[in-house]
Order: sequence, then structure tokens, then C-alpha cells
Amino acid sequence: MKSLKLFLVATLLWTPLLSAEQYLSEASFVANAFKTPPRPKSLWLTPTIKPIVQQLLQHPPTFLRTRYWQEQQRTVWILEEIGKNEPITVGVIIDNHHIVQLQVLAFRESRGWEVKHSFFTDQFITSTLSTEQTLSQSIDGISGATLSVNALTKIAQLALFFDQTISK
Amino acid sequence: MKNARKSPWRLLYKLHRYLGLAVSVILILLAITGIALNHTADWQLNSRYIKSPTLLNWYGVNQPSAIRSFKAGPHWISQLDQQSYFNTQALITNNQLLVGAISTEPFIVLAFEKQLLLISDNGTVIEKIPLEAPIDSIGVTEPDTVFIRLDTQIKVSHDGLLSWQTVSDPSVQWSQETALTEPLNAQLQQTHRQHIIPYERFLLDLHSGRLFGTVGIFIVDLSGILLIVLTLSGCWIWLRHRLKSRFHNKRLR
Repeated sequence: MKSLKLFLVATLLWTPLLSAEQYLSEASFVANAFKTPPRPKSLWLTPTIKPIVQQLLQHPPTFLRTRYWQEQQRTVWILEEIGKNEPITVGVIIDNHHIVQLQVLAFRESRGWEVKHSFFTDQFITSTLSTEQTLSQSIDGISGATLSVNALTKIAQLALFFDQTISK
Repeated sequence: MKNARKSPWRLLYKLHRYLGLAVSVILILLAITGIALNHTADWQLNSRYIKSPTLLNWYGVNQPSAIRSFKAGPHWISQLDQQSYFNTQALITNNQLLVGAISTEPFIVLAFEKQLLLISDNGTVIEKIPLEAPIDSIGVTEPDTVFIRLDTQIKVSHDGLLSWQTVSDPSVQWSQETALTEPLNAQLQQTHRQHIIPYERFLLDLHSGRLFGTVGIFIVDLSGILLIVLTLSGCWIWLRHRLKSRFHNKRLR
């Protein structure tokens, strides 16, 4: 009974730290990706990059600058894309131009939350970007979560494209 | 002759005719709104807003109760309900309170409780930066030195808000809430009122009948039931004609 009370108190104390839809904070995701997290850098959407980003997102980008963390061949990107109405925040870890982890950090939509589970996100692991700017491996959709699946696929493509851009 | 007029078939014909006429207007309305709702994204119905004062009054959209505004260089940054504005241009919608706004050399920074929003001097969003802990205020000293005040500490960024270091009690000009000029206030109130009900919401309410309250829902429900009756009576009439003509053809042979 005492341990149950302790658990409830601990849960109540921790809950406000993460908002209702946030599964993992961005700082924790970055910290998990590196032994010692490097200082963030920024990538601006220059007139050369912007049309490609627009093509990948299938709409004009809603940002002009994105931050990333880099250590040797490993880069970490935290990107947002709207599923149906609300943005989904996704963290992507890329090593040597291959996705090693893709994780939903915050999901605000009322439907399509299935995409946060690893049975779906694990499909992106080892993906690279082809010359046609598509993913090297096909991603199986989830019935009823098409827009969320599309959003995550776009984020994966975008992160790989950004990773290629900074390594040029 | 009198019996023919009173026959159940004649009644069915009449019922079918008048039911069709009665529900036709509602069905046309449902069809048009249904088609439009199927193309919400294509026709940008979720990002275009109702501007008609009559419809906004019908919805009971009132002037916002509170406006928070801050001066950032020559620009005004305001928050009305959940909508933030750069001068009179709508920026973003979020549930966080606007706590300040500053102008730096490369960009303008809007500080919300747990998010910083970087915009250019023409109001283009550059980046959204989430914060780990809620902030009380934002301040600036040199053109590119930005401070944020948290509950127990003050942090500074010298690299375009990429990283933060804790500092002790610097002399900073913190962003202060400032009352909007009267003409801008009036313009913003009007702009804001016309940025609340998207066409998609209006069409959904028209489609379901909710626009007219319980009566509207009842009429749409009744139209649905009448449509079922109409379909059945139509099938019945068609079947009768078909059987009658077959019987007639057989008799001729």
C-alpha cells in the first residue's frame, strides 16, 4: 500500500514535466543519441534547398531554419510535420546516411497515434535516400492512420536530405 | 373513378411525389456541402475563414476579452485568445501565454511560456524552439544577446538561440507588456474576429443541421428518414410498372 502511494505521488510529480501529448522531451532524445551531446548547429533553408524541401513535404515549408546535432558521421534531427491538423514532432538519428532511430516525441492529433509504436517506426531503420529523394525501403501503412504515416515518411525523407546537405 | 382515386397505388404515387418535393431542397444542400467537405484540403476550406458579420454574430463570436501586446523594435506582437499576431498579420495558434517579444539584429523573438518563436522582420516564421522549463520573460542587451528569465535563474544565448548558459543577475531590458495604439487595437480586433470560424466548420454545421440548433439537426435527420421512404416507394413503383408491362406484353402475345 505504501509503495502504491509512493508510485502515485511520483507519477503526479512527474506528469507536469511532460505535456499530455509529449512522450519524450527533445533534450532527452538528443542526450540518448550521444555519449556527450554536442552543441546544436543550424541549417538554413537557402533558395537552393527550399524547393527540394517543398517537394519532399508537398507544401511550402513552415520554417526557414532547423537545428541539428552532429558528431562525426552521426546527426540528430528534430522535425515537425502536420498529420491532419496538428504537428507531430519526430526525432531522427542518422548514422553514415542511414536512419538508426526514428521516434515520435510528441503526437497531438486525435487519430493515427499508432505510428508512435516501434512496430511502425522500426520500418525506417537502415533507410537511406535514393537519388529520386525517396526512401530506399518501402514503409507499410496503417489503416486509419494514413496521414500520420505520410507525415512520418516525409520527416524521414527530410532528415536524410538534410543529412546529405550538410555533408556536401 | 372514385375507387381509382382512393387506391393505395395512387396514394403511393402522391406520397412519392410530395416527399420528393419536400426533401429536394435539403438533399441538394446536403449534396453540395458533402461534395465541398470531400475537398476540404484542395479548396483550402480549413484555412479560409468566414468574414460575414451576420454569420459571425449567428455563431456568437464576440470580441476577445483580453489582448496581450509587446513592442519589438518598430513592430507590435500581440496575442488575442490563442492567436498571435505580427502587427495585424496572423502568426500561429497555440495554448501558451505570450510573455514577451524582442527585436534582435537577425530576427524578432516571441516568447511563449514554453516556446520561442523566431520570425523575420516581415513576419515569416524561421524556427520554433521548444523550452524545457517555463519562462517568465525575455530580454535583450546587445543586438544578438538574448536573455530568458526562468523561475529561479536567468539564461543567455549569444549564438542565435542555439544554446543557453546560466548567468547571474545581468542588467537586462526585459520585454514589458504595452498597450496597443487605438487604431491598431480596433483593426486587430476586427482581423481576429474574422479569423475564428473556418469555412470547413461552417459547412460541417450546415451539413449536419447544427447551424440551426436542435431544429436543424431534427430537419436533417427527418430528411434522411424521408429519403429512405422515398427510395423504397420509388423501388416499389418501378417494380409495379415492370410487372405490369410484362403481364401486358404476355397478354398481347
